[in-house]
Amino acid sequence: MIQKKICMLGSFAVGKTSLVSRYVTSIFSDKYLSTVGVKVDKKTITVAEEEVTLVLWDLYGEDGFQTVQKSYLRGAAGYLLVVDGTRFETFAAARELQKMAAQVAGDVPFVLALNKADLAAEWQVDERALFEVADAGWRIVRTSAKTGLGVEEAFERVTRAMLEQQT
Amino acid sequence: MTNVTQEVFDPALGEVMRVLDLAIVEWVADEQYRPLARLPEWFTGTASWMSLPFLQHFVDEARRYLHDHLGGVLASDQFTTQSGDQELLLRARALKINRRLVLAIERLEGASDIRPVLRKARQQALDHEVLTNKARAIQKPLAAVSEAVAALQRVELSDEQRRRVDALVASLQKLQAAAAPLPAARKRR
Repeated sequence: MIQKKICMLGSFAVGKTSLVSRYVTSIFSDKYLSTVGVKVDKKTITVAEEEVTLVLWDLYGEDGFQTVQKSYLRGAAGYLLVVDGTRFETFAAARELQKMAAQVAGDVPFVLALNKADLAAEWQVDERALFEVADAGWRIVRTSAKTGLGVEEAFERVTRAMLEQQT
Repeated sequence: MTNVTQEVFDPALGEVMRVLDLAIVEWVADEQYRPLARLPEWFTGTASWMSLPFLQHFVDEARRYLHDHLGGVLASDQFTTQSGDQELLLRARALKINRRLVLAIERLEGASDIRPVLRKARQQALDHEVLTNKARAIQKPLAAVSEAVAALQRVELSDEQRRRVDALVASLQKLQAAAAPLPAARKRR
């Protein structure tokens, strides 16, 4: 069976842990529990008739309190770059993290998850900036760990891209 | 597949480890560990050994580090794992004894568990971010009101109208002071 490491990257409180929890256990909690250290979960899925075990590395949110250790990205076959759509600052942080990830993990596939899509009224992400990164080839999926919107799609798209890159 | 076999070497050592609440295991091969003393319940109870990919990552780091640092000890970053309903915060230390790579895994509790403090600090940072954004959002309409009041001040007004505009200016100044951009949140490294 194929095993692939996927890292969850993004600022603090963007919903990385909630996305993993929704994806792996279908559970969502409104309670914010900031991640300290690293948490690893696994999920086996079938994509393109291939059984893949995803090893999901939920890394703590990058901020002034904790900095993501680059070594955690080693061996990653792909990553999810998570942005809180209601906090424009998190988009700028994601762009910086993407540069860092590209340096460490190389040219591996990633998906930009625009999370908290259920809070559309509070949306702050600049559409022009999104077009810009889409033009640069970024895969973008609107997600909501709360409603489940786009969660499966985000993980599936990055998995497909990882398998395509492998062949 | 993770393979952990229970093997207690020395009852005295086991008792010491029980008191210290440490899990002492020897790395055998990829994702294979051998306990060197009785493992604490919290460690054996960790569901499906989900945290072990992190431990394997740490073993790889430790092997490289201890190759260059004879007699050294390498401590891991904190990592979490689920044990029943509980999320455990753990840290491992690696050392080499007679070419054997030994890991001492401890559960971080009490003052060592920084999660409540970090959560509070991050919640405060989020609250600060919300306030900053709100202050930023009212800057434009405030500037428009300020322009309109300035325009009113330039036109000829009756005494009564002038008094009202003066009151408006005083209120506007208070509003501007209250809505001034907030200082950046203090962050620690």
